[in-house]
Amino acid sequence: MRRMQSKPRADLTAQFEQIGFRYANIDGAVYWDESVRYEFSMGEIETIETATEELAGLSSDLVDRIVASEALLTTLQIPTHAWDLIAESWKRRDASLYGRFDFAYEEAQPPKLLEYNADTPTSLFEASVVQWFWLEQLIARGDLPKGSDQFNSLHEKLIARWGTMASLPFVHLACQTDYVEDLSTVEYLADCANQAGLQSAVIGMEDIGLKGQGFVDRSGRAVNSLFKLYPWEWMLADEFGKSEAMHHTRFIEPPWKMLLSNKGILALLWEQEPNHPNLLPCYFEREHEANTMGKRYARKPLFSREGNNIELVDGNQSIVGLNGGYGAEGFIRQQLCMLPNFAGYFPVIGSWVVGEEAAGMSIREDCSPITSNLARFIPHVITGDD
Amino acid sequence: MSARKKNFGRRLPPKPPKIITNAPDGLSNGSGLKGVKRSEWIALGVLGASVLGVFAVAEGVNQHTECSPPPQASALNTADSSANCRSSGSSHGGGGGGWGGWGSKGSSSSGAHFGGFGAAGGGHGGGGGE
Repeated sequence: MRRMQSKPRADLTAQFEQIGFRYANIDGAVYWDESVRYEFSMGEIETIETATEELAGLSSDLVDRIVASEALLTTLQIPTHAWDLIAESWKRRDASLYGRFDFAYEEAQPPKLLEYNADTPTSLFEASVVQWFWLEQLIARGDLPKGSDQFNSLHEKLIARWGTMASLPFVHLACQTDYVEDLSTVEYLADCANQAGLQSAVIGMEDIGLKGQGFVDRSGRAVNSLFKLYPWEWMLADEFGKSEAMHHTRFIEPPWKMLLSNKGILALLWEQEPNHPNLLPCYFEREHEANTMGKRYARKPLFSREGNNIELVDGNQSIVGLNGGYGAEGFIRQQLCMLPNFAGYFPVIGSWVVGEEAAGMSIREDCSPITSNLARFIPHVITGDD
Repeated sequence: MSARKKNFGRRLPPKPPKIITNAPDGLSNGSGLKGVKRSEWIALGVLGASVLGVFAVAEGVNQHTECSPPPQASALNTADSSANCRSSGSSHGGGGGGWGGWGSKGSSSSGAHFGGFGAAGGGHGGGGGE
């Protein structure tokens, strides 16, 4: 894994406009940064791919355990009114579309799982499409060797995955449409669904209405299948989250995925597979074992996004993420594993799964060891075999 | 490893997503979204020299510091990065903003009640993605 300077394309604006990439810069700050790239060997990619599929399997095993245990559901602070919803969806094995494992990775070391974004992962469009076109164009222009490759079959796998959901002839995709990243993500997923033969409509969360025992959109069409880029814990806290309609709607991601988006699973996975090479020692903060890590740990809320309310503690030093109001449900302590430091830039590996298959990789780089929503997306390339 | 690894390089013929033509408000060719004017979008595409807000390692506290502009910005030789610092409180897609006012949308003529989703996200200062 090497961080290399890279020549940005001169016609970025035209390129982005052509593919509909609307957030290369956000709030006036660079988000997509192709002035550098990360280079990997195929061996390194295989290591990441193997870890990803291994953890996807372990996660499914864990869902089985949690669904059968009221104690674990309580430990994860899952609202009781959601227990049946989760169990029903797991019993039916409602299909998951995608997820992203975030790893700390250094050459010659096993990737270490920092968290699993199982519910509402973003940076999908840029991972699947934007960095692929970047690769093709750099090869065509001679800036990368012919035969250069990328860990990226996201586009094909997403279409294929939607194709397995053919029993859902019409799917609504909802998000908070004021956020361009979120809207672009659902538009992209809608397009993949369309290419798989499904019909779709993109709507705002506020455009979901309750009528009788079902949801409808503003045109009155029944919302039978709903992809929602809106966290499950928020869904459940909202007014409609307790309605009977929740039981008459097929959700993507399904309710059982809310278990895996909870950072408490990092402790449960460690309990389930102690000393697994891709896991870090991790405990619930209230557990006695949490103290065994001394003063070198990451403290993470059970529910948190974009690095908010995460604290890295190393002896008498600590780094604290932005306050996003998370933490009321409790914390875990995970053994401190710092991201590699490339001249002040800290890359986190996002390894994608579609279903349970590893499907690609994205790299976000922050100048803080805590990856925040200020992190930039850096494209990657596979350059060698070993 | 399985032979599947070789699939990394075997993609379907490139097919740009059709989201360009599905943009809201009848906009096309990536010309923008609600709240993002076309002129702003083009500017953002190349002029975004900026500075990231970071936390420095400090004893027990978080300190907001500055770091240098990304090299891409200087490579594009555009904006004055010193003028584009982003505060630590800002977030992708804008600040919180809230999702209040659902009640104002009320019921539709179809008899459905709207506004029961979306409220919880308002207090978190960003979109629902992660």
